[in-house]
Amino acid sequence: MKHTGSHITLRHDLAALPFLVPFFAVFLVFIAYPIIYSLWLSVHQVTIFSDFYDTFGTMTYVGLENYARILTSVQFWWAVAATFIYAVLTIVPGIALSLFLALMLNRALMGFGLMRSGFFLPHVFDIYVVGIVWLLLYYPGSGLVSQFIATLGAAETARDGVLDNPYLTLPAITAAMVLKNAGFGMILFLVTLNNINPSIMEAADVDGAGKGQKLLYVTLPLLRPIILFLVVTGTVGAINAFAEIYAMTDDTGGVPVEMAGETVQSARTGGYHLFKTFDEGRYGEAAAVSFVFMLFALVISYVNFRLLRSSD
Amino acid sequence: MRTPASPPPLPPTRRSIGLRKAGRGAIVALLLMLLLVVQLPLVWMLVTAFKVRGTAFQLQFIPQTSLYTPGMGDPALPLPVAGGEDILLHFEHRDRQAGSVDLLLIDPAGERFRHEFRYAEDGLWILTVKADVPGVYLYAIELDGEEAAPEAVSAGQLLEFGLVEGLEAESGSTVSNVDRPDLLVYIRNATLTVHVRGDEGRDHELLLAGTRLTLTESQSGRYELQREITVPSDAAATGFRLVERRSFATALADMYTTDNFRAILTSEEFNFFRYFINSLVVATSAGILTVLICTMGGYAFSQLTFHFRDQLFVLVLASMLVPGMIFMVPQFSITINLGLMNTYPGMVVPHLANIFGLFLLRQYIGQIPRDLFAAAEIDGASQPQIFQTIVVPICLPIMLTLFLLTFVTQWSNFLWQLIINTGDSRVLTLPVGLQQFRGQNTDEWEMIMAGASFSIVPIAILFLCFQGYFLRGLAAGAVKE
Repeated sequence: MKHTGSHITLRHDLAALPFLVPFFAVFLVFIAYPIIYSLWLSVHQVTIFSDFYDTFGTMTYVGLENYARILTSVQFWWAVAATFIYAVLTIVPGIALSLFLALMLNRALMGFGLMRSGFFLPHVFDIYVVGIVWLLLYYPGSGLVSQFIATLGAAETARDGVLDNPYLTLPAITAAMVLKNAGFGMILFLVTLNNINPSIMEAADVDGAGKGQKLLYVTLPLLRPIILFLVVTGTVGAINAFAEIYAMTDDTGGVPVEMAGETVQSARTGGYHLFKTFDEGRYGEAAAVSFVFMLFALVISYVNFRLLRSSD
Repeated sequence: MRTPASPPPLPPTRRSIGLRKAGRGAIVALLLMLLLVVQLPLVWMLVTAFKVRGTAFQLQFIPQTSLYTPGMGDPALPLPVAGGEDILLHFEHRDRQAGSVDLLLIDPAGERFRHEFRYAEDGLWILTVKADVPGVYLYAIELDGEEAAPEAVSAGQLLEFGLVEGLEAESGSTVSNVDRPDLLVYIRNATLTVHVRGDEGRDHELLLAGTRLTLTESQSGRYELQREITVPSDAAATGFRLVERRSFATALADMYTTDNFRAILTSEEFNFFRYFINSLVVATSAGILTVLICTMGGYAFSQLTFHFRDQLFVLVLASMLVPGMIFMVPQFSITINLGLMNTYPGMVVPHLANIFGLFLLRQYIGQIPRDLFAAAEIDGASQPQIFQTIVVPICLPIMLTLFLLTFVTQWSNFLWQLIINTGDSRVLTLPVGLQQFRGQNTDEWEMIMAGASFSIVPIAILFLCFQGYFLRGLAAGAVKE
């Protein structure tokens, strides 16, 4: 640091203040305060839900009751499990596909730049709108994907539609998301591949390493930070997943399934579960749900941070 | 550059070059196939948006200039030769492959007959009836027992024979959904008679035993042909086909249309033009304000000194670890308490403190040579002047990057825009408008896809024009991690 603490005067603070006020005004009101407010909300219960513009008007302190309720609810634990399934089904194939694309497209051939743009393009589209297009593609019986599935011989699956099959709701949604977001991981991999010092590869050549060996022992370890980054963003993405589930299940959360004596929806992941809890006016419970999921996210971030450290 | 220590590469043999070329071709083919799969939603959305209503699920994309009845792959229909006063009816109903089609016939004497059509093939129903009492017949077609009101027809003058579209059934339902008009073909007393109803201004031909007979349009949409022919001995075996010829442009217009776009742009209830403007306002203002706020903050954090600067920055960065969903309930509460429900600011303001943007700008401004700032300070420039004359001009490229990233994010912020607007909001954005539209028009897929295009196409164009700026932001994010 060029300036030590002793040099900083009030004059410095006053000069910096106008530049900081806009950011911190929004930050305090809409980011910092909400975290605390959320904690406060999670130990309260809304008692009156009649006045739309004063939904948060009357609160009663209920202690940890909200947490106790969600931690003993089958719905909540299924949301955790569904989020986990969603995460696995997006992260693993997502990384595999983007890594494959990056390795294939990492050459200066004519048209490859265009292909890179083409693979990346869907990533910037609106998730809800893309979800609606997939709803048409997956339409039972007559949608393009259904007709394709029918030609593969699975006539019954095609007729009922993959999204209405409790075992296939999540895989169908995640497949669409993997295709949409593969370009994102691909670009990150490509940036790193381009930054690999050519002398490392030459050294490997000198040592007589084959193509496969170079990929396994040189390239992949260098790409490890990106893989870990994709795992973490993928996990947070799975927790926040909402618009695609809302779109592709028609705001139902999927097919109702009996589980441990309660009815759950086949694609009701954390983000969607939170929205539903919120939508039903159970604000305190919704805040508690979001806090528990934040804990999960923090643990995963911490584990990832340790993994990154150990690789250095 | 190869180091001198590396062994000289072996000269490639012709065989290995050939193999490499084949391998590269296979990879390119695989990549192109994958690209098609990845782009499938975009392609499908566009194709469906331009299709005529009700044809979203038909897997046909190239318009055909000739329509054959029956289709070219199917055997030709036997030519009916009627003896006496027999009438043979061909009733075509493409959508109808099952069920029952009955003809209710009332002869001039007032006697009622009910005849059942026999299903031939490809949506074609056939019936031969005797009409030997001279005079006017009344007829009606019944679909699955739903009787239509009788129509008048004279024996020997069979022009009106067939299904009348939109005929009110006695049970109250409307007989409609007829894909193609009726078709009547028969030979009686060595005279071939053909009556067809079709769209106006098309060429109709009958293919009979290798000869082409052109039908003349007697009235609009009504085609007929009457000609003496020698009846072939095996008349029943001689097949005929009816051909409807259209120009390619007409065929194209029969399959694709811009009506879907016109409909959603002029709709009273779901006006996508208004949704588009709302999305544009929300995304643009969020982009501009975010860039301004983050550039100011980024400047302060990288070039200015103040108390707790670094601690404050770490604190801000740490809040990036909190998943977005935790903010939803409190932000909703704060926003409605500020009276910002159903307003542009309600959609824009809560997302302006973009931490990634602050980080991006701080990094970028940190790379500006300090000498520039020192020189400006010696010249007596104030902080706002330095910000205006040095920071902003140098940062324009990264500011554009942040603008674009913010624009795209807020253009697609479905969840927040859904909960902060009520159904009657004047400021509904594209995704929420589409959601409302779909709620009311579940199966109008062609129009839904036209609505979807309003969200997707502008973003695609924006990305293709500025992709370097998009990817720069990504690369910065990757290096950070």
